[in-house]
Order: sequence, then structure tokens, then C-alpha cells
Amino acid sequence: MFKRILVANRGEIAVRVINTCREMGIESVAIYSDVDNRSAHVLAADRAVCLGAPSPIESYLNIDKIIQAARETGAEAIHPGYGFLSENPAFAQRCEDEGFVFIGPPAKVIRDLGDKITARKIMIAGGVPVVPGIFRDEPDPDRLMAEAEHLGYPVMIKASAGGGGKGIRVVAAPEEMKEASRAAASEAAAAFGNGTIYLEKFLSRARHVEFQILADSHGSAIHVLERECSIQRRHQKIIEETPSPVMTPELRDAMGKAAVAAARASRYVNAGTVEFLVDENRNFYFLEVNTRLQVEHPITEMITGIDLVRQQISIAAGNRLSFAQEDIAGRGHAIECRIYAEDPENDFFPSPGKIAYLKEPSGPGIRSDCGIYTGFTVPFEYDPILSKLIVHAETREKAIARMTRALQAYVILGVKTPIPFLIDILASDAFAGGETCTNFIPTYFADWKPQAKNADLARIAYIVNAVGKKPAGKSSSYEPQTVTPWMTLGNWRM
Amino acid sequence: MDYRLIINEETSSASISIIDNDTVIIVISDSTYRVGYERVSENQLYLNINGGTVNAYIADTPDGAHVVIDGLTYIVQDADAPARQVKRKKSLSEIPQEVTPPMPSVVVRVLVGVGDAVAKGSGVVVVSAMKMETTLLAPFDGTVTAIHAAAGDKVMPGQILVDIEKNEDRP
Repeated sequence: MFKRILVANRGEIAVRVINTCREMGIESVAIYSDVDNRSAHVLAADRAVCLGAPSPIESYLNIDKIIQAARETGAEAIHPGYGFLSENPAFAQRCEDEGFVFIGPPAKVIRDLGDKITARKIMIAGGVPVVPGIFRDEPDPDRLMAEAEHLGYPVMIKASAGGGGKGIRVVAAPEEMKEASRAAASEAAAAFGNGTIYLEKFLSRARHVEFQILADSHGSAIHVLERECSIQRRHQKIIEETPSPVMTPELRDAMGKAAVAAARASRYVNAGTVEFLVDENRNFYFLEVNTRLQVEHPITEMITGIDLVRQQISIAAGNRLSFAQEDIAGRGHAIECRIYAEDPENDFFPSPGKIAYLKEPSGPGIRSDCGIYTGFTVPFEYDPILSKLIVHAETREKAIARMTRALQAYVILGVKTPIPFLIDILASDAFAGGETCTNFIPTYFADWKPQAKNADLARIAYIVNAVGKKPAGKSSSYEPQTVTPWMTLGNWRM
Repeated sequence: MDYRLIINEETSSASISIIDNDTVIIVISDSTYRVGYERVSENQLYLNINGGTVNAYIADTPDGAHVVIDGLTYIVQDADAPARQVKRKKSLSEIPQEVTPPMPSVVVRVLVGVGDAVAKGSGVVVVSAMKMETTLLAPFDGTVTAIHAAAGDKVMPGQILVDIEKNEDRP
């Protein structure tokens, strides 16, 4: 087993990986940029290496600096987390070349599956149903239009080199095609360094259902059940749950088999996620494979009791999977809400700043994967995810109640978060009814505005707080019972 | 004491009057709230508002006070904020120049009588608020010229409880 692992990431996921390393008796090495010198992941690690300037290409995306840090600290393996370099085949290759174990699939697998067009070809050859679309990149807008006619509008333009909501445009009619393809290609080039786009049929009332896969280096491949990720805002997931409300045992069996087939077809090793779209008739289609740990992996951990990071490390160390497909069973229902530093009243614009006060909820079935603490200043250079709130309960209804209670008990002062938005979604009839499809937010929450219904309570709190400030500082006299007014002064004038 | 507080660009007038050492009445626009209060920590207030329990979390930030109640965040700004700014005394030797309570309080005990000589820093009145007793001190050497409070009175910040004439010009 490894003695030391370098975690090539930051924030809550780096803390998450470091926690499991600690439980396994493995030393952890954190990397950080100048603005992250007091970040939670740095404080949690056994050692930390500063990479310098905060921009991602000079820090968390800087392969040379990260390899150097691994070498200096004697790390044997590198865990890439999610985002940043986790799906970068050049990074995985460099780790392999320099003698570090990359905790993830081989570089070739990342390369193949990272190119969405190649991935689809592999899946088709492996017998996995795919979303109808064109299987080659097509830069010519007129040809794109011809293909779109053939597929039938609406269609979706997607970037071949990456995901995360970038390089995606839905085109409802031929007139929009030219501009949409230009914009998508340009966005993709900026985000991934590669403007290649392709075309898929757009399934408007589809659900995004993904399957967790685990494969070892000895030929075993299994799935670890599904996650429903349809609640998305601008193609970014915000609420995930398992089991999926649309799932039946038959569908789970069929999709699970397809997920494992996808793993085998691509010669997958380590943890990954096979994403599918499920249409209104419960037909499912392969979308893509994410060759890394997902943000929403905790909900799978809650219903199965499996530590996926531990599995990743174990597989990377060459061990066989210690369980088989028939050992995998889920219990109860889990939901995750992503807490971003975003202002829901200002079109979810990022809201960095100092965390004046943080209080996380607790109780049975509550898990908080948190990357911040009271007094921490959230940098604006990176993805604004602060933490993830996960709940587990016996039934979906109970999980919704538990998540609502936990969100109401979550206190983050100093930055704005979408907590009020999440509370309203969870309270909606549509969510209660499990009507989670990818256009959920545009359908039910397009013009959401926060309600200031208890504004008077906030005014009362403000006034009471102002007139009753806590005594600050110590008295120099040895009469602890006497608190002199100049220490407790509220409002007064000379 | 009156406030004009802004939330979401809406300003409401509020006034506060005290009932006893841990209860106040706050009137906002047309609504009256009976508020029992206890400070749990620097950022948490335990409130009883018209019979209902409310835990309010609050912190000052550059764009106003952030208040979180039941998962909802409010940014509260005081329209009169500059006038209310208090200069915190850094030095131990500086005492307020008036004998006035720091928060809405109840007078527990008046320690002096009219005509008494008092030394700077000696106790003058004991008040109680949020279950905590505070002794108000004489700001300078002088003589008590008037007393405006008696045990049991409810008093507010800004209200002068005892007048003291400074000794400086006495031979």
C-alpha cells in the first residue's frame, strides 16, 4: 500500500481524499496556490507544497510543478480529485512516465473516453445504445444543418473535448444553427483548448441517470448502482439523488449491464461514471464516461456503505476488488445538494468573500463534505463550490424532509449561497413527485426569486444584536464581576 | 430608540422599547413584536418573538449585516449607520463621559446620592440586561448633582442616569 499520496486538487474534494488517506494510515501531501495557503485542505494534510501564483495554469493545472512537488515530498501516488487535471491524459501519462501511480484509469483510457466522439464509437462497438447523433466532428455549419434535419430538431451541439456545461447549445430551428455552432465552438476552444463540436438529438424530457463503475486491474468490473442528476442549472448539476425515481429493477439491471459493458469495452480500470439519458419511455442512451470520481459520489457511498476513495486507492495499489456484483445493494435514499458561493438573487453570480461564520448541520444521516471554515476567505480564482450537503434516510420522502431541515440549519454568513433556492426546489410538488428531468429548473423555477417573507425577523435580530453587543476584551481589574460600560458600549454619542 | 433598516431595497422604520432585562418590544411599520432575547455567542441570538422561537445568526460584513434565519439569508443595512458609529475605546483609562447604560437595561441599584463626591472610575449605578449586571462608572472626579433613575426603572442607551459635575475647577 502507498505510504504517501499527493492530492492534486483543492477545496472539499481534497479534504475528502485526505480524510480517507488518514484513515488508511497513508500520509497526505497537499498542493496549494498563494491564495489557498490557509485553505482547509492545506490545514488537513500531513505536508503541503506551495505552487505559487493563484491562476489555475500556474498552480492546480501546472503539471510540471505538481510532478516536482510529488518528487520533492516522496509521494508514490497522485490523486487528481475532480476537475482540474483529473481527466487530462497528458497528466496521467506524465505520472506514469515519471514513476508515480496515477489514481485513476490508464492514460490511454482517459484519452479515448475523453474524446466524446471516440467514446461513442467504442460504445457502439461494445453494444451499448447511444444517443442518436452524428459520429464525427463537423465544423461546417451547412453540413451540420443537413445532419440536424436528418436527426430531427431540436438538436444539441456539444463539445467533443469536455463537459461541465461548456460548449453546449440547444438548437430548436435551422435559423439558429449557424450562430449556435459558432458560439459553441468558441466556448469549447476557450474551455478545453479544442473547439471540435458534434451533434446529438436533444431529448427534451430526458433524465440524466449515471452509473458508478469500479474496475480493478485483474479484469473485474462492476457497477455500484445509479445516481439521478437531472436537476441542473445551465447544465451544472445542483441536486443529485439515489435511487433514481424513474428506476425499476428491470431498468437498473439493463442499465447496469450496459455500464459494465461500457467499462469492458473501454478497458476501464479504477472508479468512473457512465452517464446515460433516459427518455420518457424508459429507453436509455449512453452519453459519456467520466473517467474520475464525481462530485456527487457521496450519495452512492451513503446507500452502499462503500468508501469510493478507498476503493480507488486500493485498486491503484494493485488490489483486487473485494466484492462482486451480487454483493452490491443499496439501502434507503440519499440526496446531495451542492452549496456554491453564488448569489441566487443576482442570477447566481459568484459571490466570493470571507466566511464570517459557519455552522454545519448535524444529526442522523447527515453528511457535510465541507471545504471552508469560519474566517476563511473564498478565493475568486476557482470553482465556487464551498461544500456538499448529503443526507441519507429510509425513504425518499424522509430524505427530502431531512435535507430541508439540514439546509435550514446550515448557516453560512459572509457569502451568498443558493440555499434558499434549494429549499424551494425541495419543497416543490414537482420534486416531491420525482418529476426530475433535465429541464426541471426552466420548467418549474425559471423566474424564481427569493422570498423576503420573514424580513421583519431579520430586522429584529439586527436591532437586538446592535443594542446588546457582547463584551469585548478583558477587564484589567481583578473584579471579574464588574463589566464596565466602555467595554460593552452600544450606541451613544458624546 | 428608532431605526430605519433596509432589506432588499425596502426601508422599514423600527422602534424599540424595553420591558425588562431580557425582553423588549420592537415595532416595525404596523407590527408589534414582543421579543425575548439571549445572546448565545458572538454570532447567534436565541430569540422568542411573539411566542415563537427563532435562532438568528448574524455577522457584520462589508455590505451590511448578514442575518440567516432558517436557511434564508437577509442583508440588513442601517440607513442611519454613519451616525451610529461608535469609536471603541482602546485605552483602559477612557471612560464614557456620561453615566448611561450600554444596552436597554433595568436599574438594579443606585450607589450614590446627590451631593456625594465621587472619584473617577468608582461605581455609580448598577444595571442589569441579558441576565448580566453592569456597573456604570464615574467618568471623572466630581460631585453628584442629580439622579434620574431609581431601582426598577427601565433605561435605554443615551439616557443619562446620574449627573456629575467635574471637579477640575475647584480649588
